[in-house]
Amino acid sequence: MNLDHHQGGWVIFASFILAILLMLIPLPLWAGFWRPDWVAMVLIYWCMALPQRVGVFSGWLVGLVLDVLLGSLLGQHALVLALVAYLSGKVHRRLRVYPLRQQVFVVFSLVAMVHVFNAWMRHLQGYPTASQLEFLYPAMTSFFLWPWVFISLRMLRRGLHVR
Amino acid sequence: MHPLFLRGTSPTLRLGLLSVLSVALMFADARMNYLDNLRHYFYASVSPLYYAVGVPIQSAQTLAQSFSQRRLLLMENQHLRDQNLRLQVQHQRLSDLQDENKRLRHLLGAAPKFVEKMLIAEVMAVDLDPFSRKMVINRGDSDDVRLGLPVFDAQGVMGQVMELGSLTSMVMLITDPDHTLPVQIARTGLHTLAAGTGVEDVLELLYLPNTAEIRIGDEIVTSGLGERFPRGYPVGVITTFHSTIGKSYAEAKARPSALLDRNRDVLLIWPPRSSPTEASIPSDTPQ
Repeated sequence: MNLDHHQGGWVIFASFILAILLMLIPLPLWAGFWRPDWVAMVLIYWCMALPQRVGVFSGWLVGLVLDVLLGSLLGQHALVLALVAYLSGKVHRRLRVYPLRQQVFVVFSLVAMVHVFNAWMRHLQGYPTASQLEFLYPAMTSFFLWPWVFISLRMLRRGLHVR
Repeated sequence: MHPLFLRGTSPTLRLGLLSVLSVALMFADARMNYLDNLRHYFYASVSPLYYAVGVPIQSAQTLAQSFSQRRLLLMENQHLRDQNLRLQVQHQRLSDLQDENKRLRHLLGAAPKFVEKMLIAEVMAVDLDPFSRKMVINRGDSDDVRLGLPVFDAQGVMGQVMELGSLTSMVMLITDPDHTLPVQIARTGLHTLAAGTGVEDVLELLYLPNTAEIRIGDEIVTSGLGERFPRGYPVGVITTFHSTIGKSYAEAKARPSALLDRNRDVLLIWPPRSSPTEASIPSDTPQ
């Protein structure tokens, strides 16, 4: 990889930090279940736009930070976000040419995968299983917010020449 | 020009290696204590992010409060004054009892066990996983907080410190499924363990004999065994009790007395240093 062409790494870093902060912002209890998965969305965007810079390892690292901050099992978010990065890197060429209304379905399934996995891990740890499909709410809100996330990150990437 | 094919280790291989690593981490984190140091180190290095979220929100709330209505403030003031009076009267009686207790313990040759130090902490305006039973408070290493320190509110026991940063710490609530604390039924003195269930207002009592004498409404208090929690603080109230002859243990559930998810201010209490005469019980909470 020719690293001299890489620039604007701080934008990627800052977008991840912002996404992590958005995961921690206090919401009322009912809204907490609907919190969009900002980190997964930002990760999907960068894996799609710059697969040569952001990939499996970045996903894993961000997941590890999230594990520590959210108090989940060390490695839980790391594993699943590495998988998200892998899958979105794998299909990045196709994803780029999809229109937004088609992309949202890919985002929905990836975020749903994250939360199904988290629910499964919680169950293994002895938490009571959610009776409803509560763990899928974040996938739904991410579904609706993806176009905005995508467009704003693309503006950032183009405006600040992140390559 | 971007290279047409990305070089370096293939993502598939990387994913495989990192998955193995993550599974190993999860297993080690859940089942063993090897990773505690690593985790504490990570926590200390990323915990400033809590401040980035919590401080602006908290200052906004303070600002909003400072503009709140005069009438409300007066009402609150009156209410607090009444409460203070009531508490002072109760305290007069308690300090008398405490003196008496100290004298009696002195006569018996037992070391007095009284609380040494308290500190009020605020729950930070930070959300963790909505399913988890944990919270972040604004006191840390620099306030002499240490791991395992018990946390209380005005009604009873809330939990204990599980992660320590320099200015914040993470508290595991007593309802977390990983948490168990030694308790006593206040009325009968029966010792048992109160384990979290992951449901926000349910504690489960473990290893109760079928013949245990328990009534609904009985209060449970900390027993002081395990030496993490000082003894005699309210933990909860029994809500259900079933004893089935066919089963080895009776089932009992309790509702925590502390307002676990509706608190802003909590109290950290440093337990007195254990005296040599009473220090033979191994500490084993949390599991």
